[in-house]
Amino acid sequence: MLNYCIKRIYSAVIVVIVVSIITFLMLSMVSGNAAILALGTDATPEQLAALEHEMGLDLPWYLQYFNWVKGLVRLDFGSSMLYGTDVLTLIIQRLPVTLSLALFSMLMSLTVSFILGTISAVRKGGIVDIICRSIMQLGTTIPGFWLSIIFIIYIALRSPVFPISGFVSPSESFEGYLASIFLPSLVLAIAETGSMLRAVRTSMLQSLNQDYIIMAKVQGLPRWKIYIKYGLRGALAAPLNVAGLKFARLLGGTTIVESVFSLPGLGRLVLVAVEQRDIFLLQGTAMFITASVVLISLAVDIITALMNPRMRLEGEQS
Amino acid sequence: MDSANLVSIRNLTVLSGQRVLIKNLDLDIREGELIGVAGESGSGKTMFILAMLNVLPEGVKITSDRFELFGKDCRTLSSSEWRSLVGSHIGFVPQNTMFYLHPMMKIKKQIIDSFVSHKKGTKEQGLARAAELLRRVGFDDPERVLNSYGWELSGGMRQRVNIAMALMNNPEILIADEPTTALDAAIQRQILDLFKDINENEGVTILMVSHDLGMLHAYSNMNMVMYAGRMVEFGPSEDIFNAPAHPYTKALLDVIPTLSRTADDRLVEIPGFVPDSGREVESCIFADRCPYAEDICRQPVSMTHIAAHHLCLCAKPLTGGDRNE
Amino acid sequence: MKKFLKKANPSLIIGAAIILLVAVTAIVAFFWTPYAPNVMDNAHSYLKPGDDPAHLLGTDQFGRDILSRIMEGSKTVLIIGFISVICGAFAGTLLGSIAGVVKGPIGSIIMRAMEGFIAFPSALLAIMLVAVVGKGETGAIIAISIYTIAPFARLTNTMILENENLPAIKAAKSFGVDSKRLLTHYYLPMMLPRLLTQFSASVGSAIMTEAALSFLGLGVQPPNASWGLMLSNAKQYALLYPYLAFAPGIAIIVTVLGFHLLSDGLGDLLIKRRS
Repeated sequence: MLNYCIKRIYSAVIVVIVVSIITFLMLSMVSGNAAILALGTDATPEQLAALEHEMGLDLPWYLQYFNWVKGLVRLDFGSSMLYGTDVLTLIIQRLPVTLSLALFSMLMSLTVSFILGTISAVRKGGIVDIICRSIMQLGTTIPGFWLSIIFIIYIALRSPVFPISGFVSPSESFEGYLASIFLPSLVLAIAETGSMLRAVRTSMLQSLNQDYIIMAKVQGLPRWKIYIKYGLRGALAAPLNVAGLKFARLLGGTTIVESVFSLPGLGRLVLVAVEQRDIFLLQGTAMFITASVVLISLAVDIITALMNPRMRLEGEQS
Repeated sequence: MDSANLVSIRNLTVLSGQRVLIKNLDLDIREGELIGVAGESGSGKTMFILAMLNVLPEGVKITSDRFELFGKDCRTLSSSEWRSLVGSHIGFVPQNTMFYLHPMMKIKKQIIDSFVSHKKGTKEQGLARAAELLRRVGFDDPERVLNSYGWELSGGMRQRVNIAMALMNNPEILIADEPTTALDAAIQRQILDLFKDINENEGVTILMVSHDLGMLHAYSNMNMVMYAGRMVEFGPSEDIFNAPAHPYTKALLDVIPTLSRTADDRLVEIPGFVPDSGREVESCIFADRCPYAEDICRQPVSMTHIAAHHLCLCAKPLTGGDRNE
Repeated sequence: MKKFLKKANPSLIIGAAIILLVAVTAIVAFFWTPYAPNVMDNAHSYLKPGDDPAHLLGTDQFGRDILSRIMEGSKTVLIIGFISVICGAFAGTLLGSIAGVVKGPIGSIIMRAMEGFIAFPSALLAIMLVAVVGKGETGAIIAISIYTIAPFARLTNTMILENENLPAIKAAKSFGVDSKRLLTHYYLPMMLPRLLTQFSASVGSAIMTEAALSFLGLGVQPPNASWGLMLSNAKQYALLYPYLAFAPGIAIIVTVLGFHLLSDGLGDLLIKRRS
């Protein structure tokens, strides 16, 4: 177990380093003109040179990278030229929106997937199973931006409950917050439910094939107990792991719904950074998001490994 | 009908699609017996047990002329009624594998589930009984065992927990499927002595499957030998082991290595394999591997009485002369 | 051929039929569309489907014929989808193979870099790449190709590591077959089924990514036709003219579904399942 954790942490650290190199190199290809962007096109060459020197843009790339990473370690993600404030502040302002979207959509997706996936595995070949298999196939092909528009046209525009756009902070009105986050979360949830369902169904089918199910049947336990108490309990770990990893990746996957529903989250921040060519903002935000994804995934993997008795057993022996 | 029979089965056939797994099996189990079921792997021993417990794999079907457990006709019961009957009257001791005990449930949760479900008592009574039974099977600290997970225990401990769990509902029959595989010899003895003790002192009937004839010889009082999905011989231990009537039983006994074996003796084996298909034939299915096979063995064969309780499925059962060659 | 049809499964047949339909539409669109897709006709703007038999799927706010624009869009979709995935798949397979055969520091640097790319959430990576290479059709193609490299590299690398202990490969190595020939004559035939399956799935997701980028204004630029762009346009008029969102949305769903089905079907047909 300890071995697994160490290995897993080691590879996560390597990935974060590689990600930082990719982010830096990729975006420094466009950042040559950062000084021009900051000063405007009518700046004199002397002014430009002075600013480039001040920003450290005249240094060789590895020194620039080194300085940038030194900043990251001290949680200095650089400062935005567009907003004139530091990137971390901007991120922290927008994080609640994106976190809410990721959390709610995963909760919705998990609830539906566990209910349908369990029935689908227990009644293999039944109506629910057929519906589930269609969802698995169709779920990933429906584009989120199209679904968002359809929800706006047919739900938001016709119901007084859900706003077409905008985010209501929970401190303002909790109902308003839920209403403002519901439809976009639903769009994300639908996109995730195909693979979530598959994970639950596969895991449940495996669990129903285990010896403890035979034992429960031999003991003449009632059906619901066999399926829920024994079957589902044995099927929890893998889908929860998938859900955790999906949650992590959603931190960088909400751009489209945030854009359609005009929600001020991380995705929109990225989009604004690209549109306005605010490279430091993009660099900082991309790095923050991806590092969070890697670290959350790491935590999820370790937690689910702890749930897995085989892994724990290895720990006892070693 | 003989009311002392706990189990009475006539002409049981188990099919997987078109394939015959078990053919024309008759069996009566009387109260208090310790029956050994012997045979090579693939002989249908486990399938037979699964059929009795009504937990056959998907797609496997059974037919029979009579299938009675505790005087109830199982053929008229629904699947869940059947399981309920099994759950409250039969204790099942599985093979020694890791996950008959649920990996994510503490033993105390699982051990009382069936007790409570069959309304034998409350949770508290269940826990008390579980502790008592765990002590009975040799644990000094039942509380600690109840609070552990199955995978935290050693193979021998796990098997004793399984036995305790099987005894929770005061079963009339204990069915054990190779209960001592993969356990070391000393633990095997402990477990088997425990079975013997339960059988003799508590009058629980036991049906024990094993491929280890030597072990059955030492513990069982009745024996049933299976080959390729058929019961080929059934009878009291002294007859089966001292005077086997079926050539297959004799062959099985011959391959047991004994301590009296000298360096010059070669380990014998039964030539050929247990046939997997073609089990539907009416003639003797062992004829192809049988050293005594003659033309008559290609004719349909039926069960014959060698003695009152000694049955044999052979056209020309062995007599004293054959056995001592 | 007969034998092949016998083995074909429903996923494969439906998927292939859908893709054939889209491909034929795209080819026709090269020579003929009912109307010029980019020509405005303000006299006939906002026609709903069915309002005017001359405009089967209606017209948009500039009076442009939606059917013509869907047909034109199918061209864009297939061109961008195929070119970018072909480039990405080629580069990815090459990198993965090099890493698998050469090993050593070069191999591990390549694979670490690929893991880095995979760590990015896909939408974020696509947007970042567009920021680097620029908006527009070419930008989208380059961005999607780069984005496709890592999954192919990882798949190839895994397959090579799985197969390198096969007797056939060991024997070839002992005869002194060089790495290049080993790749093209030994590994490639073994890997082809899974690569093809992955290719089909990747084209599906490339089409989805292109649509998303165009929807966000980062891909195909107006006045050119792309399904994603048409949806972005539909969004602005959604309140009054919801029908604008239907045709492009359904076109995307059906096309992507086609590639996914084809991928599943190919997988069932070509990949021997381990039991």
